[in-house]
Amino acid sequence: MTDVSDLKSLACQQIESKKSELFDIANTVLDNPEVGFNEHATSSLVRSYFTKMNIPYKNNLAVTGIKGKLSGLHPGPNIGVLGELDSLVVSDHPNTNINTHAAHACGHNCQIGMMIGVLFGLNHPEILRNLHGSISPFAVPAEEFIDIPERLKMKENGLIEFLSGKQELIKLGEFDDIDIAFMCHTASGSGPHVFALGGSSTGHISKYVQFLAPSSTQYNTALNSAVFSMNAIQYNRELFKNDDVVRTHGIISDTQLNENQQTSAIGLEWRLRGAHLSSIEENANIIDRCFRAGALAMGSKLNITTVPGYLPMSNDAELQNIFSNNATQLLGQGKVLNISNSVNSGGSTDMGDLSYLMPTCHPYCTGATGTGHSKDYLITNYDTAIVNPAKIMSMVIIDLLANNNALAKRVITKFSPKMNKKEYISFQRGRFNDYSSNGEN
Amino acid sequence: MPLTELKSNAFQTIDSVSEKILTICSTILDNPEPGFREHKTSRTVNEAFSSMEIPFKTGLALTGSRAEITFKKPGPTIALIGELDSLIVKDHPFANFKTGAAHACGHHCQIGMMLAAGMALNTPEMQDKLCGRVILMAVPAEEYIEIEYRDTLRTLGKIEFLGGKPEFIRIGEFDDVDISMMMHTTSVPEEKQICISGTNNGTVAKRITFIGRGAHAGGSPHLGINALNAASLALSAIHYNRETFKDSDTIRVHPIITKGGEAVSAVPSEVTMETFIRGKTMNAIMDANRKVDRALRAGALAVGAEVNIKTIPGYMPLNQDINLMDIFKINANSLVGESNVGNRYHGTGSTDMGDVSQIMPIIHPYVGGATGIGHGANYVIEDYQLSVLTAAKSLSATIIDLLSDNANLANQVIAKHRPAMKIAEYLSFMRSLNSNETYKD
Repeated sequence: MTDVSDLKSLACQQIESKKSELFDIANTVLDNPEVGFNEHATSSLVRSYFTKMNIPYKNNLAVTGIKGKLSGLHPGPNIGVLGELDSLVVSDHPNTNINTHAAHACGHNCQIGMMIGVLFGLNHPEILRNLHGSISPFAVPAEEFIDIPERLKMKENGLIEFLSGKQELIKLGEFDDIDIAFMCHTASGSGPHVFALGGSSTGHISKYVQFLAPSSTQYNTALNSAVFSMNAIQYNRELFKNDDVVRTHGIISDTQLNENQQTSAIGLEWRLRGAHLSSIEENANIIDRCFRAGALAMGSKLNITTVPGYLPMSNDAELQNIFSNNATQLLGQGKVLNISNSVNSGGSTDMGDLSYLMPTCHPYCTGATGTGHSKDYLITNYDTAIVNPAKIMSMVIIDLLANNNALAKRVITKFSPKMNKKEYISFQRGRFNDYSSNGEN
Repeated sequence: MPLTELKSNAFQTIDSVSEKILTICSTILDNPEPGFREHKTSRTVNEAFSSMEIPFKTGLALTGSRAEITFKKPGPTIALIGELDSLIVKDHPFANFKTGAAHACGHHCQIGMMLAAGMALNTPEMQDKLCGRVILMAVPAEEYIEIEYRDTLRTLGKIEFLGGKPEFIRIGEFDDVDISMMMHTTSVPEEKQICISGTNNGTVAKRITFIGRGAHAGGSPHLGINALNAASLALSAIHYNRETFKDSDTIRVHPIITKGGEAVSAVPSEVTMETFIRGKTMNAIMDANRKVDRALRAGALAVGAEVNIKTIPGYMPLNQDINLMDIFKINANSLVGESNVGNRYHGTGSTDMGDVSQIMPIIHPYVGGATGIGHGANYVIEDYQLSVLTAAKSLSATIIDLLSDNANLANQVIAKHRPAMKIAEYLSFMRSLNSNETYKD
C-alpha cells in the first residue's frame, strides 16, 4: 500500500491544480446569496459538481440539503464533510442581493468551495484504493439562525420541524450513516496564524415574541411593551455569571400599523446564549419574565414562541488532534493556533448539536477581513480560506481511513455521546413552547 | 335694615378687629404645624372662640375645633372652614427650624378669615336679621403629607382617614351642616384678587414596598434580587402608560422613592415608594390606579421581586355648587370690582374640600395676596389685607345673603343641589378604596 504521506501529497496536488475552479465556485455562491432553507441555486450548483464527478447523492434534504457519497475501496466508517449553504441578511454588504438583502457575510461560500475541494483531492483511484471507509460531502442548509417568523411559517406548513439545517437533518436521520463529521469555518485575521482549532461556542434558545394592543382603541401599548421589555432585560444583566458567557440580544422584526399608522402589534426575535445548557434554561426564564412584565406594564396581549436553539459546541479531542497534526504538517508550526477549550467564542452553531451525537471538529481558516456578520466581512484570500482547509480536511480523512481506518475507529471508540439521537430529538422538541397572556396578570 | 347696610356693618366689624386677626395669622405663621399635629394652632383658635363667647368643641380629629353661632330664628347651617395645618418646606423663610414645617400654602390666612367673618356675624344685629347657624370649623390636616405618620395614627386607631375633613365627616361633624365654604390663598396673577374656581382633581395614595433579596453587589449579584431595579422599572412602566391617559381626565401620577437601598455594596433588598394618583373623576382615578398597579407588578415581575401595594383613600374630586358660587361672585365683584375677579376652571391639585363637595353644596374660591409658587419655599403672603380681610368680607357677605330673608337663598341652594353621595355612601366608598395586596410571580 502507498505511504499515507504520499496519499496526502497527491490529494493536495489535485486540490492545488484545480484551485481556480474552487474559487469560481466560491465566487458563484458569493454572487448568489440565499438565506437558510432557500438555498436552491446554491444546492443546484453543488449537485452539478456531484453529477460531473459521478458522485451519487440524495438531495432536497431539509428542503435544500444535498448529501453525496464517495466510497473508498474497502468498507468502513463514513466521514461527513460539511459545507453550509446559507447566507446572512446584511443589506449594506457589497455582495448583497438587491432584492432579498441576502449576503455572504459569514464566508459560507468558501465552505462550499472547500467541500468540493475535498472531493477534488480524494477522488483519485490511488487514494480511494487505500481508504477503508467513505466520505459524505454534505451541503447543509440554514446554519444562520435567523428569519424566525418565516421559518415558523415553514414549520406550520410542514416543510420543516426544526428551524436549523443540521437540527432538521439529524431528525430526518440524514446523519445516521455518518460516524464522524467536520467542516471548516472562515475567520478574519488572527496574527500570523492561518488555521485555528479548539475553543467552544455557546448554545442558545430563540424566541419570537409578539405584543398586541389589547383592543383597536388602545394603541402604542404594543410598542411600549416591547421597549419596556428590552429595558427590563438590561436591568437583569447583573444576574448573568461571567463564566456562563451569557449573550442576550434581539431585533424588532416586524411592526403592524393600524389604519391611523399606530402600532397595533410588534414582533421581536430574541435570543439568549450561554456556555451551559442549564444556564441557558435559567436565563431564558428571566427573559420570559421581562416580556411578561412588558405586557403587564401596558396591558398588552403577549405571545411568546420559544424555539429550540443550538447546543454548545465541543470539539472532539482525538479528532482535533489529527486536524492539528495535519495543519501543522501542511502549514508549519507558527501558522497553527491551538485554542484552549475553555475559550468560548460567544457565537453559536448547529455544529454544536451534532457534537452531542458524534465526534466533530469545527476549526477555523483565515482569509477574511472585517467583523463577522457585518458589511465589512469579506474574503480576501481564497488560498487560506478554501485551499488550505480543503487540503487539511483531505489529509485528515486519509489519516482516518487509511491503515484499515485505525484512527477513525479510535476516534469513534473513544467518543462518548452526550445524547443519543432519540434523546436529542426529544430534548429539542421539549424546548418548543407557546405562551400567551392577555397582559392583565 | 337693607342688606347692603348689614354687609357694610359686617365689613366695619372686620376692619375693627383687623389688628387682632392679623396678629393671630402672624402667630400661626410663626408656629407652623403639619396635619394632626396642630396643637398650638388649635389653642390659638380656641382662645379666639373663647373671646367671642361662643360655644365650641375641640379635640375633634385630634386637633380640630368647631364653634357655633346660632341665630334667633331657626334655619339652615353653614360651615365656614379654616384649615389648621402647614406644609413641610425646610427652606421656607418661616419654616420651623426643628420640624421644617412652614405655611407655604397660606392656611394661616384661612384661620384669620374664618375668625374675622365669624366675628362679623356674631353681633346683636345679625342675631335679629339672620336665621339658622354658622359653624366655624377649624379642621386639621388638609395637606396630604406624612403618609407614614398618619398611617401609624390610623393603625393606632386615632384616625381612620388621612385627611382632616374626611375625619370630620366620619365623626359626624358635618351631619348637621347644609352648606360649607372656605377660601384659599393664591399667588397666580391670572387668578386676580378673587378667583371664581371650578373643579379639582381627586386622589388616591399608595405606599409601595419592593422586596428583593440582598447579596454582595460585586461578589455575587446573581444571587440577589434587586429591589431597586424593580422600582426603577416600575417607574418606567408608569411613565410608559402616560400616553394612555386622556387629557380631559387630568391624571397626575408623581411617585417618590422613600428608601432606595442601604449600602452601595449590597444588592438592594427592600425599596419603598409613595405616590399619588390624581384625576378629575373617580372613574379616571380608578382607571389610572389600575394601570399604576399593573406597572408596579411589572417592575417586580421583571426582576423576580415581590411587591406590596397598599392603596389608601385620598381626596375626592372637588365640584363646586354653581348657585352658591353665583351668590359669592356678586359679593366678590362688589368688593374688588369685576375686573379684579379671575376665573379658573380646573385645578389639578387635590383638597379634602372635594370630599365635602360630594355630600353637600360647597364653594372653595381663591383670594390673591400671595406670591411665589404654592408649596414652594418662596410662597409668602404679601397682602394680608386682601388675603385675610377682603376674603373674610366676601365670605361674611355671602353668608348674609344666604341666611337673611328667612334663609330664602340658602334654602334655594340646598333644594337645587343634588349631592353625589350621602354621608354613609361616602364612608363606605372611601373604605372600599383601601387595599393591601402582595404580588409575586
